[in-house]
Amino acid sequence: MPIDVEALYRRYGPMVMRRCKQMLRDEEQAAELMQDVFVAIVRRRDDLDDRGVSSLLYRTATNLCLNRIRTARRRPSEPSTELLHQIASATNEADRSVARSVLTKLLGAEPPSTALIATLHFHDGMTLEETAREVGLSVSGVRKRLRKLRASLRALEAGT
Amino acid sequence: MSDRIPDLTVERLALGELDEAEAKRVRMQLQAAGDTRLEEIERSNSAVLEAYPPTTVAAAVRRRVKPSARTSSPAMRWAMGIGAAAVAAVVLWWVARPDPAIVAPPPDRELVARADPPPDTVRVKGEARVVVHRRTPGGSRPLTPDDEVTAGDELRVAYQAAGRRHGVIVSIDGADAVTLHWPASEGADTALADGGPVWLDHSYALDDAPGFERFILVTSDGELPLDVATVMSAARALAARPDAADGELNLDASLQQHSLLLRKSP
Repeated sequence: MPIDVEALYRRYGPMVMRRCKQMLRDEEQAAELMQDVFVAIVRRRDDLDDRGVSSLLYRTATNLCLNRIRTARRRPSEPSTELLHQIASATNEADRSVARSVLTKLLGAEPPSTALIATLHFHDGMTLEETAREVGLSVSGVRKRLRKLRASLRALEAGT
Repeated sequence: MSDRIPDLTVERLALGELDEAEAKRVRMQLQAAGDTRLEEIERSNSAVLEAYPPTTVAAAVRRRVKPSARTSSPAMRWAMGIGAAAVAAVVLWWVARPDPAIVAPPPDRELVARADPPPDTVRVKGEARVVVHRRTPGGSRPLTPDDEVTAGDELRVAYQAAGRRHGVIVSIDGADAVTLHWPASEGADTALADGGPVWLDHSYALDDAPGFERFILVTSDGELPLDVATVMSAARALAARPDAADGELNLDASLQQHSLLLRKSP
């Protein structure tokens, strides 16, 4: 059954917009990314299960924003997003082998990115248990991923 | 970690997606903390839907998901009330000396409306070109493959699509880092504008990665957009290989690849 894009956007669009604005601190970029999120979702899935849609959209928005922040690393950045820049920069190399579309993870093909995990835990304030539940890993799996960023994470933890 | 309820949990409460027990717990915790996020979400919902109407956004999403001939991406963005479209830039392999007639890039942050061709325009095919300028105190200077660049150099890039319909620009450097330059995100449109040169809308500064900075354009003559995630994955694989400076991305043979290599000063 095809997706009712308008209904999907009407219900979840504001949440996606808030997430993008929170991470990018720029209304115009947030609006662009918001549309990109829905394009990414609709393009890859003809049917959406009602369960977990908010989580899917939230994670997609997070990943696309991290990509934008990572790209902007070589351009002037906003001080208020320094934590996200640190995460994006620290995980650029670490995620080389695991950074994939969040949708492929949900299709059972690829694991969630370390950048996403670090964002949910350090930036969003989710506990390890909440983060694990959100990305579909065990708590020990989340800890293991975060441990890999030890040098950068110490600086992040000191700031939270 | 603080006791602050994560934003996603509050969002789910507002959406009615929490079970009864958890919803009650979260509400009580928000009230006890004097946390007004739930009320703010309800106000924000109305504001977002008013600023970006569902019919408009949904139409734009549907057009991008199933593009017809030459539908204008900037028109979608204008319809969302964002304003002038961002300039798309594609970096291509520069096989000829720089053309002195090439116009210098516009100032940073000056958004240039992208001139999308009308649907029935016949694109004149030729050799796609990349132009990369380095900022100088007096303006900018075009770079050639023989030029060296250094950490801190500010670069501006432009492309001439020469009839190619879709493109993705990535760069890889000597530290194996991969950066997506065009489109701006993995879900965005990859349609190229003809004519040119078409400049990226802002400059970027090189970091201290050693060895080289290499820009790669992947183009297609097909109607459908390129899969940016696939190109990024191939770029990451190439970045880790010994031939990262001159090898090809492992992509479908129907896609064309052009690259420009800039050596980093030691």
